[in-house]
Amino acid sequence: MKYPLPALIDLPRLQQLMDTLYQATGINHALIDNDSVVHTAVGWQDICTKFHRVNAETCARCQESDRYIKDHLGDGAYVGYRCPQGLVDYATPVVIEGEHVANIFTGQLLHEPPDIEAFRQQARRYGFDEDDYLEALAKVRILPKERIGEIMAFQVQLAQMLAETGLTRMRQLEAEEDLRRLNRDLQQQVDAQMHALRQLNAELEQRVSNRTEQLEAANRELEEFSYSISHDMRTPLRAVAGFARILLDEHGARLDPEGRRLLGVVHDNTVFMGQLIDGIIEFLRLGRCRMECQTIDVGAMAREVFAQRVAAVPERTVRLTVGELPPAWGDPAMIRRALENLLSNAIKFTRPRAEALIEINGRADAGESLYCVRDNGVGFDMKYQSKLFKVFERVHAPGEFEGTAIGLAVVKRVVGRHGGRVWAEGKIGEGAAISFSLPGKGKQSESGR
Amino acid sequence: MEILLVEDTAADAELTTRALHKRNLANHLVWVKDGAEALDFIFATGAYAGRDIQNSPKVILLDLRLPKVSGVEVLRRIKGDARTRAIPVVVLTSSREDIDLAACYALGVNSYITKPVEFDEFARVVGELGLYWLLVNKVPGG
Repeated sequence: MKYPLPALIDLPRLQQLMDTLYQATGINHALIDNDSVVHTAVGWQDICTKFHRVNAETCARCQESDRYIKDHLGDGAYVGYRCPQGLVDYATPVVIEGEHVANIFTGQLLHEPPDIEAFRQQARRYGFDEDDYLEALAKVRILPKERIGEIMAFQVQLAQMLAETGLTRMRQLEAEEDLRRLNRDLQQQVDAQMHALRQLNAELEQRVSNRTEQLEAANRELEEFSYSISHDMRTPLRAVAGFARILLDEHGARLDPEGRRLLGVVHDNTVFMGQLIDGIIEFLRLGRCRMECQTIDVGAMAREVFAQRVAAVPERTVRLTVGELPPAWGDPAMIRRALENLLSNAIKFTRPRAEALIEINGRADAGESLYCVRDNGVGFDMKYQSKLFKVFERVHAPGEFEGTAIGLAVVKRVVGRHGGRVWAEGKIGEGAAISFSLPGKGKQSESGR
Repeated sequence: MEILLVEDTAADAELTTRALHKRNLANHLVWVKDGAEALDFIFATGAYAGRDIQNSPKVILLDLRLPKVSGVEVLRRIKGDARTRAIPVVVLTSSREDIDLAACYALGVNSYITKPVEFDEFARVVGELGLYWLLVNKVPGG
């Protein structure tokens, strides 16, 4: 049997039922499986349990009865057997799905009053205590053979009912097992797929990390290359500028005005190229220099920078107002460079104004400090906003405003290395506002080189 | 001999000489073209074996990027030798961002010039530094 009997039949309920039946009718009961395990029993007779089954010789006869009954059992029927000891047993099989799993016994009874003398002899033959044996015999129920049919009809129905509930229970157990197996298989599949997914993810991450590393190395190499080229270009450039200047100074008198003008163009452009190169070198350096951060009073630093810058244009009227600013956490030299560029731009692009107004405002917001430098200068067209922070990108006509067009790229790089953002708003003829954010102390994650 | 100019770029050497000349400082200038020649000159070895080592320059203008022996190495040898340690050395760098500049400070450079692209500016700083080290600064025993 695939399942043990207790799994298929509610044995405590059966025991209860049989107890009640025994009390009401004196019909005894036992459910015994094919391995001779007794699962439920009530009303078993002392004459069997204390005498016949104890003595080896009589027990052998009992077992012979068991065998006979087992061998002659058929589904839906019952069999009776009179044992050599003189008692009668009846049994009917419990068959679940074609498998004979157990037998229901009733019996250890007599059909007619016993022949006392024969039992007395039997006691003597097997060495039973005569009085005890006869007392046990007296307890044996005497039931006319005619009554057996109806009792066994009950027992057969009981066996069929047990078979049916057993089958139902078996199907349920099988279904549960199938479900468990299915669940296990499914879980295994899910586990396998999850494992594969995790592995794939790890591989992907490794690849991204490798690629990032390669890109960063390539970028570093490129920057170093640019840096060294920029550096080396200064030497020939110095010669061109220097000798153009000397030519102009020492031999200018021998050139006509156009010749002198042309030489001046050579000189001025060489000097301008020198400024561009210095701008690139600074821009590259700001991308890789070590940062030493501390708390910075941005307002004080801005006033200082402004005073220096505005001193270079004494003919202009430029007013600076600084609002309440949150302190910044950053590298002072780098932040100063950003402010120098922002204020230089503001001073430069307000040149057409009789009174130039520059305003710096700020506020703390969600762990970061925000700053905005606003001017009433010539402004810019918002459609060029994305070009504003790129190296060498101009949003004004060439010659209109001097400069290398690196200033805002420097600002972006400084802010980026602090983990902040930059953005710009403006309108032609109505000024520009450049804003940037700096994360608070401990919140920096260097980015945006 | 008052100035030793260590410079591999002929154009830069000429510009430097002209800048000094404007201040009448180029009359006693010796120009060497690489680090090895500079060391030979300073320590009176090799081609300069017969030179009197006591007759040291009043100032050395030293370019950092030199063939054979680098400017930093030349500086290390000058500042590491008791006979030459007192000679003022002015380093000429291509830009303020030169990575060797930090090493020069550690070695005890006396001063440095960032060579500006613009000649007027270049002439001004070279002239001023030359003037300072030749006329104002008193070298012990110099």
